[in-house]
Order: sequence, then structure tokens, then C-alpha cells
Amino acid sequence: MSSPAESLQTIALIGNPNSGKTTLFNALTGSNQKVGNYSGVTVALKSGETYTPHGKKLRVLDLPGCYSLRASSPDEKVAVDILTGQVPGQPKPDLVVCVVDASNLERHLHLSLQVIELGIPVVIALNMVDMAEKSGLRLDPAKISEELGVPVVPMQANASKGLIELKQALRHPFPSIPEPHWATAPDEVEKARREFVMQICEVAARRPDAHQLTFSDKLDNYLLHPVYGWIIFAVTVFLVFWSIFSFAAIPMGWIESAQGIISGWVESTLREGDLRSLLVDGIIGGVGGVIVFLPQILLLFFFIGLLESSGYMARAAYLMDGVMSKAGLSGKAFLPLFSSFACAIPGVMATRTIDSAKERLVTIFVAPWMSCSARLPVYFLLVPLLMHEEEGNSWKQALVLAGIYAVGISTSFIVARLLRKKLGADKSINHFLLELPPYRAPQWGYIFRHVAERAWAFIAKAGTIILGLSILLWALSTYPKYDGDEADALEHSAMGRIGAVIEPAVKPLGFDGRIGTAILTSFAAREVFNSTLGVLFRVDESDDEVESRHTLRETIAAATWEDGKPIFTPLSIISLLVFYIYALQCLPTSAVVARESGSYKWAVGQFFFMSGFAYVAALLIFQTGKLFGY
Amino acid sequence: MNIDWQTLIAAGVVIVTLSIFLFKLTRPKKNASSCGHGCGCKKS
Repeated sequence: MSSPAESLQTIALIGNPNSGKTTLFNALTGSNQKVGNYSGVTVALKSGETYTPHGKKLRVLDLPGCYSLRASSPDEKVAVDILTGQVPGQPKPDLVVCVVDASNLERHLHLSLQVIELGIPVVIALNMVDMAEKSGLRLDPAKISEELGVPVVPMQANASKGLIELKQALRHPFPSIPEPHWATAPDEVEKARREFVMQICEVAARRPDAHQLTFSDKLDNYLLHPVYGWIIFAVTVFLVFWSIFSFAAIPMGWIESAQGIISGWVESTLREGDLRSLLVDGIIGGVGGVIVFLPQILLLFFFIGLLESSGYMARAAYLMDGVMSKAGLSGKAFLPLFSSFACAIPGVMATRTIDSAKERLVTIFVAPWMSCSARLPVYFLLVPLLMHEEEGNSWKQALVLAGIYAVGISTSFIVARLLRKKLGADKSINHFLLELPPYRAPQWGYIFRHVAERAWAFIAKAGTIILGLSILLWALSTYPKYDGDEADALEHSAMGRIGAVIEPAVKPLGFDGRIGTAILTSFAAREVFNSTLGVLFRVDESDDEVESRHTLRETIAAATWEDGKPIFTPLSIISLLVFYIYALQCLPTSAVVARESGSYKWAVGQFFFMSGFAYVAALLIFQTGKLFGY
Repeated sequence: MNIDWQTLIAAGVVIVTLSIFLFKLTRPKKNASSCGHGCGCKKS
């Protein structure tokens, strides 16, 4: 007996990258998958459900974008395998909706012809007709339909225009399978397809006689200019970092105030004891120390969404192609690496768009060196400490943060180049092909929904893993109990003992046992570093109701070695920052690397290489600095 | 021996948390049949 899911008829959405498949998928299914105004957003198969106007339920698959059915990259192979029914557990689609960018029929129809040749019923969704008409293109969907022998639905998926008409076309019976009359000579089928597409465009997509510069063309004169383009790129990146520091200060103040109020309430309700200590020092201090960074992380995701949605991200990839080639990579590696600034996991997944297997492996290897958002809490704690300033509203702090990112990027490029050389040249030449989409007004709804998703994911992590680790860290710093003052009790606790054991290993880096312990705990999740420091340095939330992080910074700044010298000197802070730039402290990333590279050895090798590199780099920084008297 | 109620509750919270972590670490992993083999699909 087949399950209800199996009996559902399946519709697959296919199209060139950036033709609007995911937007159409979201509109059809009411889903909220990530969309972006650049190629390669969909690197995995997504599934949802929709209904025809008569209420018949259909399963919808959103396939990764591909230019042809040659399956030259892993994401293209996914699409081809699904269409040909070669994926176990996935039925062959009953109908394929070819999503075609109406402004680029010459290129996009080529894939549609290949799909028609497979002998599956096809409907063409002629997407973004508004943009095409604005550019002066005169479209004749009926003529295209007549030439191809399949239904053609003009639409504007981002405004849900044409959606009802498309659903009408998905009704039973499905359209009949047309005869691929253009493919008469099997030896010259590529040429025949090209000629047929040109023939269709001549009669059904007439351009104005004189070539007119569109708004995007005019803007690209500056944004892709060899000089102005780079200046605009640098200013954009700097503004993003500066905004993250500046604009987040207000909501961070609210979170800190709320944290102080809760701590105060617990302290006024409970008398002194273990439970009060657990709640105030362990849970509120630990979780609050991480949650306070939520506004900054959300701002980062907001800006990434804004750049993607407007179309600028594709220009940045184009600009970066030359730079990437210096590292032995192509512009295709830019998007996975840029995504890794938010989180290395989607970044590693996005390497599926890279054709060359060797380039893909190298990109996966260096992706975790793009400073991800989990490192931000550590940077936000340490950078103001380094500058002897309060947090926020400082161009100097933004500059240091940009410098931290630059260190990670430049090292990853050097290692990528060396590794690329070691792996050798590809057997076949791979070309960098990228759609430069027209600039569009950002899709605010999608951006804010995506930001809200990230907010929820961060809060869920803080409420589960970080909450659990905060409780365990509190226990380690409290048990076994010792009768004495607070410092003695901590020294005799399990955490104090662990710190004493690892101190000889981290002292050459300029860290004491407590920092060593905080580093050790942050191998589960980097953000835990702050909360561990909070617990280990006994930062009392109730002492300062408004700025708990300010208190933590003040407390650790005052911490000294036994001889009275400060632990957190500028040199030891730089050493610590360098360690966090390079260390791979994220188990989920290692798991995804193992899966994507198809080898646990690759993931384990990457973990030990990066952690060892971080240790040696921090050691060199600290010892060299000491030699020069810092 | 007179043990403070706050100590008991705090110790209980720690034990429960530790048990959850140990359970999560030691439980057998689900077979990700449809993941990691190039299709990129989630197991539903």
C-alpha cells in the first residue's frame, strides 16, 4: 500500500540560477525558503505542497538552478537526477515547471528545450515579465507556447501575479508531451537548440531597435568600475560593520536592563544560597551574556539579506573574481565564502554550485576562517577592551573589527592558494559563469522573515545548548564545595582544577587557566566563551543592572596574575582574538564538512589543522610581542 | 544532617541537565538515509 505522500503527484520547478524558482516555490507552497537576488541560493532540494484551483493537492520540488542538464556541478547533478528519477525515494516528477526569466529568453529557453526533450509534461512560467517590459521587450507568450507546444504562463512571482493562471495550467489532465521537432540531428542537437531559441526570440520577444541602457546598466557603470567599484565595495563593507556596532547599542541596552531587572528580582525574592547563585550567576549571567548580542547578529543578517535582495551581492562576486583567482579560486567561491560570515554551515553547503571538485574542497576547507556570527560576541567583548573604550559608536572599533575579518580572509586566501597548488589542476577547464541580475527594490518581507528565523534559531540555541552549558559550568565552578572565601572556593572547584591543569599549555599564549578553560568550553559553541568568563570571574549581575557585559569587561580588565601584572594586556587580547579568528570551534560545521566532502578524514584534518594553526599563531603573536617589550 | 533546600534543588537541576546532555550524546544517531548522498534533501 502506498502512503498518501507517495500517491501525491509531483511537480518540479527548474530553471537557470536567479530565475525566481524559490520565489515561485514560496508563492505556490506558502513556504518561507530563503530567496536572494543572486545565483545559487538553492543548493539543495526543497519540498512543499500546493493545491490546484479544484483543490487537488500536489507535491512541489524546488530544484537547484542549472544552466543545462549536463550535470557539471553537484547542484546541477541533483536537478538532473531528480528529473530522470535516479534518486532513491524520490519519484520522477509528473510535471516540470520551467521557470524562465522573461528578460533573458535567449539563455533560459535552452534549458527548457532540454527538459522537453526528456519527455516529461512541461509548463513554462515566464517570470519577471514586469522587468522585461520595463526594458522595452515586447513579449508574445502565446507565440512562445505555439512554437514550443507547451503552456506558457506570464507571471511576476514576487508579487504573486499569474499564480492563479499557473495553478490552472497544473490542473489535470497535465499538458501533453510535445515532440522535440528541433532535435532532428542527434549530432548537432546543441546547435539546433540554439537556432530554435533564436527563432522563437525573433518572433515572440522583440527588443526595441536601438539598445537602451537600463537603470541597472547605468548603475553598473559605477558599481563595476575598476576603481569606483572597489571604493564603493570597501565603503559598503565598512558601513555594514560600523552600523552593526552603532545601531545595536540601543536594543542591547534594553536587553541588559531586562537582565538586570530579572537578576534583581531573583535576589530580592531568594535569600543567599545555591539556587540563587545558580539562577543569577549561572543561568541569567550565562544565557544573558550571549543573548545580549542578538541585535548585532540580526543586523548582520539584515545587511546580508539587503545586499542579496538588491542584486549587489552578484556584483560583489563579479568584482571578487579577479581577487579569488589569486587564491586559485573563482568568483563562484565568493558567495559560499561570503555566506560563511553569517554561518559556515550554509557557506559549506553553498559550495555545491562550484563545478571543480578540487576548488570545492579548497573552498570548504577555508570557509570556517570567514569570521562567523558566533565569533561576534567574543569580538564585541574584546575589541572595546583592546581600545580602552566603551562599546559602540566608534569608528576605531569598526576598523578593528574590519581588520579582524581581513586577517581571516587573507589567511584563508594564502592557505587556499597553497592547497589548490597541492591538489593540482583540474582535468577539465571550468568557466566562471554568473548572472548579473537587474537591481531590484529589496524584498522586505523575505528579508525580515529571514532575520526573524535567525533570531529564533539564536534564541533557541541560547535556550537549550547555552542554557545547559551555563548550568554545567556553574556546577563545575561551584562543586566540590570548599569553606573559604569566593576566590578560594573557585580555586578548589572542578573548574579551578581544570584551569590549573591546562594553564601551562595556554600560558605561553598569554592566557591564565580561566581563559584556557573558557576556550575549552567554547569548542562546543564559541559564544559560550563569554558566559564561561562571566562564571569564572564571578561577575555579579546585580552589581550593575544595566551593563552586564560592561561589568564583565571591567572585571576581566582588572584581573591580574599572582605577581600583580594584568592578565588582559593589549598583547594578550590580540593573541586571544587571533586564536578565535583561526580556531575551528564548531562541531556542527565539522559534521557538515564531513558530509559535503564525503570524508571524515577531511573534517578531522581541518579541525586539527585550524586549531593547531590558531594555537601557533597566538603563540607567535604573544611571544614576538613580548620580545619587543609589549 | 541539615541540607539547605536551595542546595537540593540546584543539585537536582544540575543532575537533570547533565543527564540530558549524556542522553543526547549517547543515543543512537538516526539513519540519514536521504542526506549526504548528493541529493541534499532533508529526511522528512
